[in-house]
Amino acid sequence: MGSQTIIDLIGSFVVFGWLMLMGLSANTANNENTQTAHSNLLVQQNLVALTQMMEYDFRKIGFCLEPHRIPDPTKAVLVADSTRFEFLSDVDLGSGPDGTVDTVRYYLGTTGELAGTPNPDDRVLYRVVNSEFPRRVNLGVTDFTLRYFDRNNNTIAPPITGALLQTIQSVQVTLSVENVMASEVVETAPINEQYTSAFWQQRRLSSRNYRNR
Amino acid sequence: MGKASLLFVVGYGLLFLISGVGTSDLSVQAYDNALDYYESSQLHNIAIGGANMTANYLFRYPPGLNGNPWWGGYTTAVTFAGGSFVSHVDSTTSVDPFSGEARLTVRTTATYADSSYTIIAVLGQSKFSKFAVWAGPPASGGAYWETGDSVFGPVHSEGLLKTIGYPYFGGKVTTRSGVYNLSGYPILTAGLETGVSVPANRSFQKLAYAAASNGKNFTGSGNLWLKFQGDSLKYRRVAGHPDTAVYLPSFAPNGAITLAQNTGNIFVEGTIKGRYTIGSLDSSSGSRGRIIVTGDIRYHTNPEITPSSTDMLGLVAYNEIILADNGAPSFTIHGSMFSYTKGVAVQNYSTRPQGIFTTLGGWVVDEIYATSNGIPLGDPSSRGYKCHIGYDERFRFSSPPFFPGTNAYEILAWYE
Repeated sequence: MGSQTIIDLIGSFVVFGWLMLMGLSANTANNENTQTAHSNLLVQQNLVALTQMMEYDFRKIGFCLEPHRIPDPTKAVLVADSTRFEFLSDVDLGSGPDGTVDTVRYYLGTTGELAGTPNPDDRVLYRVVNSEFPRRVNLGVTDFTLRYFDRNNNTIAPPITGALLQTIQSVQVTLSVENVMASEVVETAPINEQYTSAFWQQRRLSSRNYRNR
Repeated sequence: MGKASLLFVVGYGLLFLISGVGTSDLSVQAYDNALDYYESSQLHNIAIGGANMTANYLFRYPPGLNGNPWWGGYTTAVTFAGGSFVSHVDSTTSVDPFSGEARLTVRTTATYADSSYTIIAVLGQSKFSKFAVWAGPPASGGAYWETGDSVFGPVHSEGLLKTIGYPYFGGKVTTRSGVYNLSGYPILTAGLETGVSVPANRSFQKLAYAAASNGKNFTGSGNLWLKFQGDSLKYRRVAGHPDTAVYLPSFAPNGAITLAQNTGNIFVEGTIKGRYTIGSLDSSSGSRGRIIVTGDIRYHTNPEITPSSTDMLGLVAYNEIILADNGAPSFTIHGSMFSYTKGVAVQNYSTRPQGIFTTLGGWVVDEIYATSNGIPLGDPSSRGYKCHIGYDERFRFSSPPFFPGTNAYEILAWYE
């Protein structure tokens, strides 16, 4: 084997290795992008699912197919807190509203309940109808804040209890969702796990029944 | 270029092609997600628009009222905002559980892209009994609500709401011309809205017709004394004469009892069992067409204790509704009072013993009269009644039979 052949062999190994490295690097980058895009998609889908659920429920505050069962809809809000909201409604349990008054509760769990996920800020957003057992579905909620406004668009300062509950005319909902696994990890100090997040806020989410009569 | 290189290139090409499809698919899903939300919002908005248009038509041309014919809704698809909607109105799905009066149920179905969405609204005839207090424009020149007065339930003044001291309003207050405080301030726990007008489109002709057809309409000159004793009634037309006792469900099957034109006044007291509206409808003179309450009027079953109570009373007078001076330290009336041209008056309000006049129902009056001499309760020189108007929650969605209405429909429930 001549020296030229050896040089050719060495050269081909170098070029091949170089191409392999490029390929692997491209593959890694591609996987990372796919992973990030997938995380973003999950976060968006979770956010849309949550917002549609809340809009569906909040628009029915004070509603009952038999109106005499909630004679004064302004008393339909039972609890109004920054992370907890409870109200009367007539929930569709599969066969449409049935004229029976139901209680719907939304409240935020603690970060400790989801200590098993890498995201330290995620919490469970509970939606409980009547006295059913609260089911935990982790959609990556990190912020669920409610603000309440009266008919003059003035913020109603907490605590909102007693007759103040009847002055609520609209609710501002702020929702923030992140993915439970980091989409990127910056490994140089300080090590930083980055989570994709999506934010949604709706002002004046109100029920027509609540302003009724 | 060798075979290996060629394979290498083809392999890489395939790899990037596959990953490209995956990435593209993710983008499409993300776009789908956003588009879904947009389409559902648009669909919802179309349904809301259709339902509002239907409700507006029903409000302006109420079927069966004011001579309007029946209207079944927008039964042919209406193109709107890139989609369409159809609405159907029926009068059989929902009824008032107390009166059996039919309500309107509106179903509006919107279509956008390949999705549909339905909104259901229930409308009922609006009655003045839904107010704890409705005061007409002359009330602006009338008496002041004062410290010691309390009203629970919706309050509306078609003029000014006049107050002195610290009267308490536990329900939403609306006025057309604002609030005038001579001193102090009213306690408004459920808010105040000004610039609101609820017109005095009042009529008691329906009550008169109902009494004549399947109730009891008293005619002939002279007053009428009524004493309710549960489901029986004692009445007479001449003072001092013996009473005639009747069984109410047979005497006035539809609950309407009236004293017609050119007659006199009604004197009433007792315990009400069932649903009745009493009308003193003589408009021929200022000294007739009045209801004089001679003693307490109470329900047999108090709805404050038993919400399922079916006892309801309406007192409808062309002129005043007067609390007779019977020397009692308190007076109680269960029912909604309606005075077409005057108001609720307390006989000898400035000299009779001090006390509290309790209403469970409401006052629908043209004028607000003084009920006391304005001196706070408890002061030895206080005379007359301070008023406590407790609200009958059932009146938010129901009313005594043939009680005067606003000749319009209002939304009782809205499902979206």
